[in-house]
Amino acid sequence: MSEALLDGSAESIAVAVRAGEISARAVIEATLARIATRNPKLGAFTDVTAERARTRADALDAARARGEALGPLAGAPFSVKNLFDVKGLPTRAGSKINRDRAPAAQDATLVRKLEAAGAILVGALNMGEYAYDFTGENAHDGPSRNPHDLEHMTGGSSGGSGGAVAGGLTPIALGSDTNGSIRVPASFCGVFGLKPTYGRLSRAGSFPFVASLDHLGPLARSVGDLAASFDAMQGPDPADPALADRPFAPTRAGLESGVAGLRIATLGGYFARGGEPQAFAAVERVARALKAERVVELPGAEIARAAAYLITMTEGAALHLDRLRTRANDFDPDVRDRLIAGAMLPGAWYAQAQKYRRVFLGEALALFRDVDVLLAPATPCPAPRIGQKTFVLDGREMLVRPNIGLFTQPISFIGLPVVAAPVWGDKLPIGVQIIAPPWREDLALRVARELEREGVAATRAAFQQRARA
Amino acid sequence: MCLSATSADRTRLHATCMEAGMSETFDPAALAEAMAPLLGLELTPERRGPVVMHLQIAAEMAAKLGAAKLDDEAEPAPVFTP
Repeated sequence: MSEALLDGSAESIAVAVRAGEISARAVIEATLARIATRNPKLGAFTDVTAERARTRADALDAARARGEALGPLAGAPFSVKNLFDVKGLPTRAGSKINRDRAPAAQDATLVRKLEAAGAILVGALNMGEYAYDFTGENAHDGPSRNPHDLEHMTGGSSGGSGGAVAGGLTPIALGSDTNGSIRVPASFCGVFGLKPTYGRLSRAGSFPFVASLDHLGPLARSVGDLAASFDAMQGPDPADPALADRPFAPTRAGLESGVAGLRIATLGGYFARGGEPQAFAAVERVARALKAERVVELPGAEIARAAAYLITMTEGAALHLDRLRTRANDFDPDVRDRLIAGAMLPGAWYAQAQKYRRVFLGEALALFRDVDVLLAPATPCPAPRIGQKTFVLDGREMLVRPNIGLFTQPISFIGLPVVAAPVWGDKLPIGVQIIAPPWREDLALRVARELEREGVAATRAAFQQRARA
Repeated sequence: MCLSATSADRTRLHATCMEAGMSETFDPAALAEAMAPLLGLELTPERRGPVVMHLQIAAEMAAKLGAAKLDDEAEPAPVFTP
């Protein structure tokens, strides 16, 4: 089996499987072999569902032999952050405590939808405890490591998702994003990530964090895979009460439409300060490539970030209050102490924060009346070193853990769809957020595809580079 | 290092609160001590410093939020649908 196929896209694997050039079983065996070799270095997988994957692959190969049509992702391996329910596994959500839960009785909705499109689940991925994390470090399972430099963070909380995709283990991984947990690891690991509109994809069968802000979505090495997996995962699901009643909005078919006629602007003000030069240089490079000369302001971004911060503390604490009482010592201390503080906040702060969501959405919608797509940094810096506790932003020493999400939090606060696209510096990549109006994932994906086509945004195969060096 | 509110932190919080027109009397350590038993949470010596620090950060966030003038009629954006 060609190594190039494993380093390529899910769609290219599916083309080869549908054409009979390779069996799904061979793809899965090669993937499992790669995981066995690379995962000890990367710490991306916490569970490998090898037998399930083999059974599924054999079923696909048998279906093909019978002449049945295979799905758009036929035979393509994928993996999921371990807060997704996987039948037969306790949904640990990065915690020690949840390992005592009964094994999940069925798969999460999005796992079932990707498998219905022919993709094959190969395992569950490391993550920051209970998703309250931007680093990808985990006190119980060890850190997930950045495939481009193992001493550096993957970012989190979908750290294993970033590591699995950037490290060539699976072309697609699912993550969750409450304040930036898809976009941050996409930025640090140099892959594409899609945080869809709030309410677009079902969260049923995933362990929650902050119900008001939780989103699920894919990370991938190509924009085509983001679009194809996003399309496969759309659809109604009464099991998620926040899921919006929206018609199917395909994105893959129109992905090559280009950006002619799109009004694209860079976000200034809050989004143009408080980061290292590489963050802003990446945005400038993207803006130049797109001939986006306008700079616009999104008023209230700093307040939005503060409001998201307070909602997260309060809802996260409410979710875990009983566990904080009974099993405090089983938490990662960094997560526990933020949750304890969250339980103590005045209720009025939370109510004001929820009210501000609507005010800030109004500001964004006003901006979108004469702009179609906005650009902003995804993270204030490229991946810090594992264990690094503080960094200096704009001359002020700040804690790493709560501040990596400075630029992602205001956007997820109002549920706007975003693609994080990787732009390379001298050594490590950094992401640029491509932000679209609500329900217009298609626009963000089209712009990301244009940047990919132009070579401005790209993924790099981590281990291949090292082998050649 | 104990991460409880230092005098520099307090000065910064005071300035932020004054700027936002909020009370400068917010005392995160007192809040933590009062709330922990009410909530049935144990505030061990190891946890106290970080918890106070996180309350301090939250208060700064709340001060920024307090600077936003919300109309009495401003409604939140709920998703609950009976």
